[in-house]
Amino acid sequence: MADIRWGYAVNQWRNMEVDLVRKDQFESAFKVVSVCGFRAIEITDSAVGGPDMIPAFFGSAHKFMDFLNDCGLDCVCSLFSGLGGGSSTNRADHIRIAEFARPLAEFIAELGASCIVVRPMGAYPREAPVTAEKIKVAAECWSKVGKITRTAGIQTVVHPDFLCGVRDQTQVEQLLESSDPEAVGLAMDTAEFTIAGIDPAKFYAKHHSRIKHLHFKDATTADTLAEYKDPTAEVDYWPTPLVTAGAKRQIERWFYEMGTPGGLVDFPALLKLMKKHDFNGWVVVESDQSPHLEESVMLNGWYRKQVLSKV
Amino acid sequence: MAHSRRGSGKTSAGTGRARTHTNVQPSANRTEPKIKWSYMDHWTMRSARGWVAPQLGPKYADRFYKALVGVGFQGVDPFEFRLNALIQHFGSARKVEQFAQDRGIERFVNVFTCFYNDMSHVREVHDDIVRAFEAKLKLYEGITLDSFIVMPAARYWQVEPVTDEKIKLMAECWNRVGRKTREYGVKLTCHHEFYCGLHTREEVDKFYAWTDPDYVGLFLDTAQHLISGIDPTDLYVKYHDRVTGFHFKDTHYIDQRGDYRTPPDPERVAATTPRWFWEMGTAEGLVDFPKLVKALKNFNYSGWLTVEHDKADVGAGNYAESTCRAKWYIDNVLSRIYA
Repeated sequence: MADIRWGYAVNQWRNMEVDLVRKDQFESAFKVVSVCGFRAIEITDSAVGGPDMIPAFFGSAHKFMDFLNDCGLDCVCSLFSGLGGGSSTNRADHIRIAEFARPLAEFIAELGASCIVVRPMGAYPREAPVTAEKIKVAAECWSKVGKITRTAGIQTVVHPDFLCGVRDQTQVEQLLESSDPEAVGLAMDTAEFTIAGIDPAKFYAKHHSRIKHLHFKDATTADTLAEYKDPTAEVDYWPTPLVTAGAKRQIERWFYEMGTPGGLVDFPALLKLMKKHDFNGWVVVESDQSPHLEESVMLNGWYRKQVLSKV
Repeated sequence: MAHSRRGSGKTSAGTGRARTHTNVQPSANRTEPKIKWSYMDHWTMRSARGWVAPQLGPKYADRFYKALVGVGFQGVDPFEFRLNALIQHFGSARKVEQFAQDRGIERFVNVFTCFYNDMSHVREVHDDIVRAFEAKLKLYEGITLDSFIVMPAARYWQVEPVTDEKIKLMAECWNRVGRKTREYGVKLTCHHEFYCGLHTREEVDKFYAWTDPDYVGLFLDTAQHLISGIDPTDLYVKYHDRVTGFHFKDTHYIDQRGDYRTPPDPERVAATTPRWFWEMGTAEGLVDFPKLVKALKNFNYSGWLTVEHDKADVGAGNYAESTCRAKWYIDNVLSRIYA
């Protein structure tokens, strides 16, 4: 029987350096997520942070959990991490990346998390040409990482996005086939897949056994112009990289709330399949690129309660 | 470089301590709820034009009602001018209500009325006021409303000196209006802004002594009364049989310098603060909401309560965040006392 738990990603609260750094900002974000019906948060290296930042902000992991619980949330469900840098397509980096993941996995296990989410390859323009051999090397990296995080009870999941070196269906399937199914799961992001031309429901039906984690957000436009190849489709920035793809055709937002008019993702169809295949894990709803986070969480809460709960 | 698009901060090893997670749950042993929560519409939302009201068009109203349902509100209390704008979009009050109901709102509960001559201490305007309410009743035919909310007196500086004779004229006016609205099944209920001509406890007591309980109710605004130095729970206990509803909102200030007499509009230009009103749950909040909710429980209050955020966007605030914070306070604090 399916056990679908609903979390919310807090990455969008950390767009600017002054965001999500004070206790009142954490409290507001966590309470907004909680009151709209979500039980956990997905954190990132820079949004809340890992074992170097959480004790610095809150005193200890224990005190952080007290704070989180007092805001009405159960736990951290997952960490999206860059694992300290390095390249999955460079074998020389693999051991360092994997060893970096070890303490992270141990730390987030104490926060109640079940997954560490990673980008399987760097941005496409930097990785091109993306060959089968390159994907195989990346798969080796994530298999190593996954074996290590499993020792802490944490599932490693790769999260392809539409600007990433691994982005289309063939590439994602190659990555899955080349990686250890025991060690590496897939985090399927409905909007990223849709923009990259992959139908999330069809993909789920085919690969449900590998999909351990989901990101739910909508998209209204697909990348039909190969904008992912633009050398500046993604610009390095801090605290979070800037997605500039689509600027030439005035795309301000790629990502939208579930239920947005014109949205391309068929969430009910996907959820039906998840129930059919007894999905057991977290669905993390996201508000990437939202101009008004609190309203976005409310709208996603509405969609979950009024539409998805009836599936 | 396999950095995350969610941020590429460097992390280092560290250890935490094991703990047992506390699973925060809604109050146990829940029975049929006595309370439903409505939301007073002051909402503004982001658009390509900047901040706009939901009345700009159906796509904005769609977001507004969904957002309220998403965070758990069941009803909406519209301002009259806001509801009227939506009637222009949709054609009738019933069609507006249906639009909201299609998104999960149960119904519109109270309408905060405007567009009548508020010099209710002047007898010569009373006929016009009654006629204005007859027009409102006609406009809102087809939907079920609990009440029309009015500020029962003009601004204090427009009324003072506030004499017994003026208070009696106000009472006479609202008795007439209340008798008329009751013919249509709608209550007439009075909301005392801190700057209204019925400001002090003595003035308020006289007004309710001179109005007919069958026709004139009290709509108790927690912040407005406290700013005037009136404890909202004490007021509720005294008038519990006349209270038809509440605005639950907080304040960080009590008027100690006569702000209520400031022309033209003390809510916007008084010296003490540019922002009088806050959502429930802020550290500086002065209203004792648990005390009030315990009183509601003692009197077995049953029905709608309304959350209001009035000028939440003064400074850096926004309605969505204030609304989520207030509803969080309801779900995690007040509902555990009485729900």
